[in-house]
Amino acid sequence: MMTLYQRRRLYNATLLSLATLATVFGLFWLAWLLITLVGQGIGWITPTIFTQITPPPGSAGGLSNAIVGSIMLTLGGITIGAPIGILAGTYLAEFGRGRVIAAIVRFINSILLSAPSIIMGVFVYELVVLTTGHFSGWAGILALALIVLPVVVRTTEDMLRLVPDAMREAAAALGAPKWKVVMSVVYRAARAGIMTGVLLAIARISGETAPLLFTALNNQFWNTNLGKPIANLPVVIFQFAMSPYEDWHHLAWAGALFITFSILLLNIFARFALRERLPGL
Amino acid sequence: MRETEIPALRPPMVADEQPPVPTHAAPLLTPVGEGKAGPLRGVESALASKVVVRNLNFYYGKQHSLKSISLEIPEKRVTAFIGPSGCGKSTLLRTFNRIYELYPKHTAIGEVLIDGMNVLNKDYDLNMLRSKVGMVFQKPTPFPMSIYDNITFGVRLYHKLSRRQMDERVEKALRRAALWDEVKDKLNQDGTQLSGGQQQRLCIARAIAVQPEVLLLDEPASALDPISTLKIEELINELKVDYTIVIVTHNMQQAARVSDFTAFLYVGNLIEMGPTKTIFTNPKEKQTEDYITGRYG
Amino acid sequence: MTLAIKPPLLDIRPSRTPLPDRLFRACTAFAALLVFGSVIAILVALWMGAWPALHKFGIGFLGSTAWNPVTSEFGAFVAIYGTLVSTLVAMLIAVPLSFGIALFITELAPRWLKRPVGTAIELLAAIPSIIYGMWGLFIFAPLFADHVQPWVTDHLAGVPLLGFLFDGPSMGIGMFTAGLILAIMITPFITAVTRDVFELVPPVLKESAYGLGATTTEVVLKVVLPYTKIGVIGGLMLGLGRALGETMAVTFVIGNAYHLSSSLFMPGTTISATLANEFTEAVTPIYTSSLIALGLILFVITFVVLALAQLLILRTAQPRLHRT
Repeated sequence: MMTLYQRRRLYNATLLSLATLATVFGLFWLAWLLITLVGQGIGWITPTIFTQITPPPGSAGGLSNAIVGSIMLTLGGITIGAPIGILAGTYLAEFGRGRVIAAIVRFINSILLSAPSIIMGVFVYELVVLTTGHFSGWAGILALALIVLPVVVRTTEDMLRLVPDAMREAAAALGAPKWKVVMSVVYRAARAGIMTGVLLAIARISGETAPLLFTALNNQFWNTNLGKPIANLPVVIFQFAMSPYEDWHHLAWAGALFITFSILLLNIFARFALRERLPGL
Repeated sequence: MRETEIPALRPPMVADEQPPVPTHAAPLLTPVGEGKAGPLRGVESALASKVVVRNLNFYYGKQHSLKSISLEIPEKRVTAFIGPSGCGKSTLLRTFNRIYELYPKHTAIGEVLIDGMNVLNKDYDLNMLRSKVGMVFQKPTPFPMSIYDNITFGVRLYHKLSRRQMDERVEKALRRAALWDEVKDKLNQDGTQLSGGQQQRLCIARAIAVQPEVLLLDEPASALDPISTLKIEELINELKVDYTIVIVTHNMQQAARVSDFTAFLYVGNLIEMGPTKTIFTNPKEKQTEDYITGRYG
Repeated sequence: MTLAIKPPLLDIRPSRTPLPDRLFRACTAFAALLVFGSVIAILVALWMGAWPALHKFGIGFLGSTAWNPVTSEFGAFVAIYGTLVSTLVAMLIAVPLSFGIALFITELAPRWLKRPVGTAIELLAAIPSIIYGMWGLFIFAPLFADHVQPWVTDHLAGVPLLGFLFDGPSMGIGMFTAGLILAIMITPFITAVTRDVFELVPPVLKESAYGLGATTTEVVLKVVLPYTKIGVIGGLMLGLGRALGETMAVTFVIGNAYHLSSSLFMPGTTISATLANEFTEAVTPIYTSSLIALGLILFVITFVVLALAQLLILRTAQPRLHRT
């Protein structure tokens, strides 16, 4: 019969072993995923990916229209979503402390943050596609902006709250009006953190497929007109991967590899290069 | 950026002169000379009061933090507020530049007269008040910008100066704050990279760069090491030539070293105020004596 | 002595907040209003689009297992069932996994290992869901079908109470695979939040417990977890919300069969997978409306789950210490 002490030690050892196992297990999947991704895709990353557009099944081609389309959609989404997000986050941190209205907005924001991205697609479909009568790049941009918005609101508010109140008081004590306190001092102090938030939002929307499925749709051909359906990497990958054609599968893997590594690099940059500038972190 | 002419100050009042009554609706403005109480009795002809507090009450929500405080701060001297934690000394200081208005549910009722004008009156422009009444906080708060930009931040709010004039202001402020020699070669360096003591002197330079008349110091040395503290205290002694200084400190010895007049507060009440020497060697109230001798902290 | 008119110390000005301040505040408030407005707009738009279907099928829509575009008979039950079951499987796997990893990173890992492992987990979180889906379909599913499923079916299908869960042909794809892929996807989120929250515990608190002789497990279970309860729940809810609404990872591997089965190894569908597959092919208005109705149901489920989480947090939280 074990003593209490021995039982506790056994319990402890078991749980800690399980924790270690869990970590190994988790890292195992990551490694497996990345290795197969590289294995399947690396052979098919050739310069033609960037120079030729998506081909019909059976012919050779590339992903240039999809890459350009994705860049346009991502830039559009962030250009609309980030400024609104930063302003809203500023409201929550600077004007809304302790007020009920701010608590409500914060709650609503967390709903938006965790809402399924496909719902954004359905919403924008009803709002834009049905009313204009066709799919378009603009619809896709709007759907992506809706995904960017809550992310940037959250990170901006968090970063602004990290700036100590003493700094705000010091600026106010010199006679600066509120807008100057926020724009010249608080924003400057939180600059790195806010930028990180924006970069992470970019990384997030670059890989989103669902919201684009019925807004920007896809386009076989070269198109830079946002008023029409526009090619984009995630939807292309989806279509090609789900198809029965071999060369489309290859292109899908190539696209997947490209997108994954771009996003990973963006993440690493956001977390490390900017971490240098974060005070005290 | 505002280009306003900072109005010149009136000369100090002598006992039987009446100040002009402003035309706007202001609460009762009784002349400063009437019924002078407190520490300046007997030294009237030599010292005028820069700040007169009359029946000041302060509330944090429902909590009554300052109870009918009345006192006078003499011009171009150092006045210290001492007392145990929570006695209201910082609260009192913060009414002088209305910095408490940043927070909801903080209310001040009563009069704080600076040069005879009640600054608590909502009609007065807050930002102008703060250009005349500067503040330095307990924790050094350099802005995340260069040393040069830190100093010019406040100046830029009120003046449009040429580069050369701005440079002169910066140098003057830094010299006055005894920091010039240490930073003159690295004015572009980020303010946050200085040591704690240097940062605090930077904050002092920043506050005096706007050329205030009153300087409020809220426990300016409590976050610093002894050597930096000494430097700050020497600085205060030099600065009082030009500025009326009010300092809050929980360190009695510091108050004794640095100030000309001392006010002792306890749980929101003003217990006693007088010349520092008198307060520390021959206090009138028992409570003061108990605090001075360390019977409670 | 002559009395000169003394200019006032302070400028006498109206006390209204100056224009730039008001403008700034208005801009930020407007942006906050847009956030608020978007959710309201989404609800309204979904409701309006779903109305024809809801009107036609009534409340029975939720319980009906029909899904026939030809006869225009639609019901949400199969999709809802799939969403809930795949999410349940995902949470059952992900939660212990995430806790284990968070525990490892914060208490077990030697200093030099903490950062790399933490970063690896964060990178997992950044990988787009479509990659998980592709990988699941092309790499994992065949292996699963060939090596794991036959073994499981042979040995566990006969087990009295739970056997039915593992019945059926070994196809690789299906409810279980979807749940597993989802689990791998949401683990990094839950881990990242849990780890961040664990690290916020003041060292003194843990030191006091260690000082009394507690084992690591006991410190975590009895000191750290209660202290970080709120943040941990937040992380769980984040993961849960993600799992409920996840589309791409699931679409590839769930089989997309509008088919109700008690076995986890059989194909099925979820709300989001149905939407992804059929939305652009819906030819009749009632078809589209039914799909939008599915979307509305999903949004409501997510909304309710998140609202409950927030309420729970408010109940158990210390009052937020705002500057008074």
